[in-house]
Amino acid sequence: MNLDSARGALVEEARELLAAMEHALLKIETEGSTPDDVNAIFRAAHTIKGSAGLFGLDKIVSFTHVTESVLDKVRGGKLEMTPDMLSLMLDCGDYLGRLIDTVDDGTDAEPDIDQRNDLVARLQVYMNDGSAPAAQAASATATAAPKGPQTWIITLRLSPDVLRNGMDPISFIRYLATIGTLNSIKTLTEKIPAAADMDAETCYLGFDIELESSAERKVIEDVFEFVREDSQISIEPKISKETKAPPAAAKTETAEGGARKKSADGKKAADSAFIKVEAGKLDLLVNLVGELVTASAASQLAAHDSGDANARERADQVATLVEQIRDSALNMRMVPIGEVFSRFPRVVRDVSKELNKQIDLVIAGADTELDKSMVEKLADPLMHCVRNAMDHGIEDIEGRRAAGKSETGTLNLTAYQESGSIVIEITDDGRGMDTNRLRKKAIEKGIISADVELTHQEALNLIFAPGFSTAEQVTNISGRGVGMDVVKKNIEALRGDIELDSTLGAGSTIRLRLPLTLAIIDGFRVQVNKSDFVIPLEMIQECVDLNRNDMHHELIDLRGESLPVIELRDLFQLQGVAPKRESLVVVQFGHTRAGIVVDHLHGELQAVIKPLGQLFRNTRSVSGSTILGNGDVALLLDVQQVVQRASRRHSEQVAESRATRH
Amino acid sequence: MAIAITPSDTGAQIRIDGEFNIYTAAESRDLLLEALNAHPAVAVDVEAVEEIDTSGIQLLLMLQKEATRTHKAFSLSALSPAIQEVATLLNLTELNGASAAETQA
Repeated sequence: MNLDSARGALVEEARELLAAMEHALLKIETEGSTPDDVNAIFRAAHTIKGSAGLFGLDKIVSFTHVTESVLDKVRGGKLEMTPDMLSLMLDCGDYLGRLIDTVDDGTDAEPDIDQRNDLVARLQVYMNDGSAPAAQAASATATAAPKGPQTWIITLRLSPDVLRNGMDPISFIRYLATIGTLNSIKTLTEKIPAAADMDAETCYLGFDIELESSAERKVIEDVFEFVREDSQISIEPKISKETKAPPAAAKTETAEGGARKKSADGKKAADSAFIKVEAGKLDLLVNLVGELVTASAASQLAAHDSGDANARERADQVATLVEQIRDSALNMRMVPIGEVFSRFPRVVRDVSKELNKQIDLVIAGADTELDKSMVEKLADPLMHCVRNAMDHGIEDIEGRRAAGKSETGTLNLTAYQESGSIVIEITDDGRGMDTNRLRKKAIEKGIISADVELTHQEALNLIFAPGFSTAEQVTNISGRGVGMDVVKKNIEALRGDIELDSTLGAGSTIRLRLPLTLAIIDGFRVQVNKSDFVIPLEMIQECVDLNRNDMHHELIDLRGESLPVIELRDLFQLQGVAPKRESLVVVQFGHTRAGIVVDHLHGELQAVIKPLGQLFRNTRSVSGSTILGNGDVALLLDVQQVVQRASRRHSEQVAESRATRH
Repeated sequence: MAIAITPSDTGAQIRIDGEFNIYTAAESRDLLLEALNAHPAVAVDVEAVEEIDTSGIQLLLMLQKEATRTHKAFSLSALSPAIQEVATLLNLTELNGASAAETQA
């Protein structure tokens, strides 16, 4: 491994550890201190220090050392985790994050020496406190409640190479004897082979150990730190003994608590069952799978044309497998959105302190999965929406009291899947949007003219207009000049959509709707004249024969429901005459439905989406292209655009017809 | 480490002394196996072993197993303090065998 990539790994690991540390700190803040959380924090600091030491990153080592020393006192029950200390630790974590950033960009410079000195001085206060009278220590132990001796069942099936690697299992067991009592030990000798086959430098022995110790699991785990690789080691508390205390926080579990627990459990599992893969390798794989999909479609087509039943069957079989490969390749890129959500508890905590508001964050659906590349691009827009909701949406304590609401505002972050899309909602129970004020502001800024009548929804949508900001005073939380228009642009760049619901006095919801994946989709091929189009299958509701008698002014009466209709022939100005039998494809985006009139339906296919070239970047209604099995190019319809165009024209017509009637 | 093999009419006397560990494990294995293969009975004297590790323990266990498998007489002397310590730690009753009584008493 070269040094650069090792440093990269260090940075990545450190960031993960810092996130874990922050998570544990926030958990302590809400649910009270538990030895597990304190340990998690200590472990994070300790591991960062150790890794930094390997690279001679002295600035990090010296800073973490002080932090770790204080944490060690907390862990040892000599100090109590006070709210002040929590804040200090969060600050230290932030500063460590900045130090890690300097490693990442290669400068290795001290980010802010004053802040560092300040933090170290504050840490030092605790170090001195630690030597204070035993009375304090006693009270600390009462709250930290270290567990009494516990019996651990340790099974060791070490890697055959441990001896060759210069380690002796006996020394581990000797060490175990020093941190507890070895109640029993069984040495398994069955694995020793017949003399002729025995390699004297291979380890054949296995051990089953019962250890009684008051040491934390982590301490025991650390004993085997250097042999963990390739070895099977399990350390489990003996169940018969009732040493497990009931969970400290007996309060009813909120959705947030549930989500957090889940992610914590997930993390544990992740440690053992996940391998890290360079993102570039995955991208390459997905690209190749894309090519494979196209090639397989071509061979399937050729087989069908050849009329050879055997070849056809084989080609179909391959196509099925390719489809499965495609799904699992794409699935590898899927990550739970919790990765993005996890940063918000801290943001909400800090911002609500800064604004002197009380805000509860409730996270739901953190395990909803979406494409990794999307997760990264979502972080900023989401942050902006959350900050907006806290800053402009939720009122301060007096404001809430005056409005007859509970003093604590609630911010909901919810993710779920809906017909081929991922939906993320940011909901606050704040003051809501005043459409009259929005309108006035828009007129002031020259975004709309004074005589325009706006519906409620249109007025709300003004906040997405460029250069629109409703804050009366620009705070440092939101309103940094980056408006909702930028958020909207970012979301649209992901082929997504953003919408706003708001009720004055009751709160607002911002809803982001994003496609599940960016690379390969299940599509439905349609044809107009000789041009092929692909519509994402998930957005199609049904296909019906078109009866022109049901059509009135680009509206169709579909079983009693009037549906706006778009004719692809008109939309793309295609030549030719419509055949006798035309078809109507009914699509849905969000809550809007529309019909698309096409000449022929050609059935399902897997479409590898190729982005359009620079030249077509501003093309509306088409979001990409794909290559068909026969080598022809098909355009991917941007259903969102098409549906919106249809419904807009529909409402214009309604307005027109109203105007003419008056 | 030294392994001394003294053949006699009834079998071989094997004496191991000093450090019995991974550094000489491969070499020791060959010597011990050779002695066992060449004689109908072996008596192993480990009273002078000053240090033993997992590989040494494995070799003793292997020798014992192999003797049982090939129906040869195998005896182990009293354990040296170093071996005794490990045998107790690992609860290796196999090694204590006949000599257990005298060493532990």
